Amino acid sequence: MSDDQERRRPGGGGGRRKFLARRKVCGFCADKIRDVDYKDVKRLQRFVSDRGKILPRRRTGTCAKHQRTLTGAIKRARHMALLPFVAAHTRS
Amino acid sequence: MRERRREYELMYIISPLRSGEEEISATISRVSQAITSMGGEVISISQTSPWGRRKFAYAIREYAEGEASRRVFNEGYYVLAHCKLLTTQIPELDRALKLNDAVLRHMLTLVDTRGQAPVVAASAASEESDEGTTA
Repeated sequence: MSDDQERRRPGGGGGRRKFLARRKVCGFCADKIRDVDYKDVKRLQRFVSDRGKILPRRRTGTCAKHQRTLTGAIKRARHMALLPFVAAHTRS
Repeated sequence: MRERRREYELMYIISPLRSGEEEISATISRVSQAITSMGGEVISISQTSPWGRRKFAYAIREYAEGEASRRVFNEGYYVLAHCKLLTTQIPELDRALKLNDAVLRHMLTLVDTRGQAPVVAASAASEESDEGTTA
């Protein structure tokens, strides 16, 4: 399977972690959504880490096109204070 | 520049200092008036959940009227409006919103109406699926 091939590749890179996510289908392509809405906070939160950072594509499995619109939507939501720039850490 | 009417989505936050019942409707009507005075039309205004009074994801620090330093706000009143505007009037609307003391933050977004019939559809959602995007 292509997964095994990908896992063997980082052996030569050095310092690269194992892939955390298997090959997933892009969530937006599956739901046939073309434009990500910055107001859809619930959906956007899935693509943001617990620290508030935008997750990379290899973690979430989104396709390139949707990752770009997703990033734009997240940044808009952050501007309107619907999403944080940095999430407050609860354990201190 | 050719004058064109396009559909926009405006979201703005009313400062919690100006969030008395009448003040909110006064601010909303002021914004709507500004839009119509520029030759645009307001299609819909939404203040019900999930908008309306809402907590911010982070504290916003803004200058309040008459004070020297910035105040910290943790919640505000969100308003979502759909309007039709001439493209040449956008900078004016933006300026009017910036100068308004009651409006804390605002964002004007274009509603994507590709793939729809040119007839005015009152409920044009911004997520209409396109027939064929030119890639």
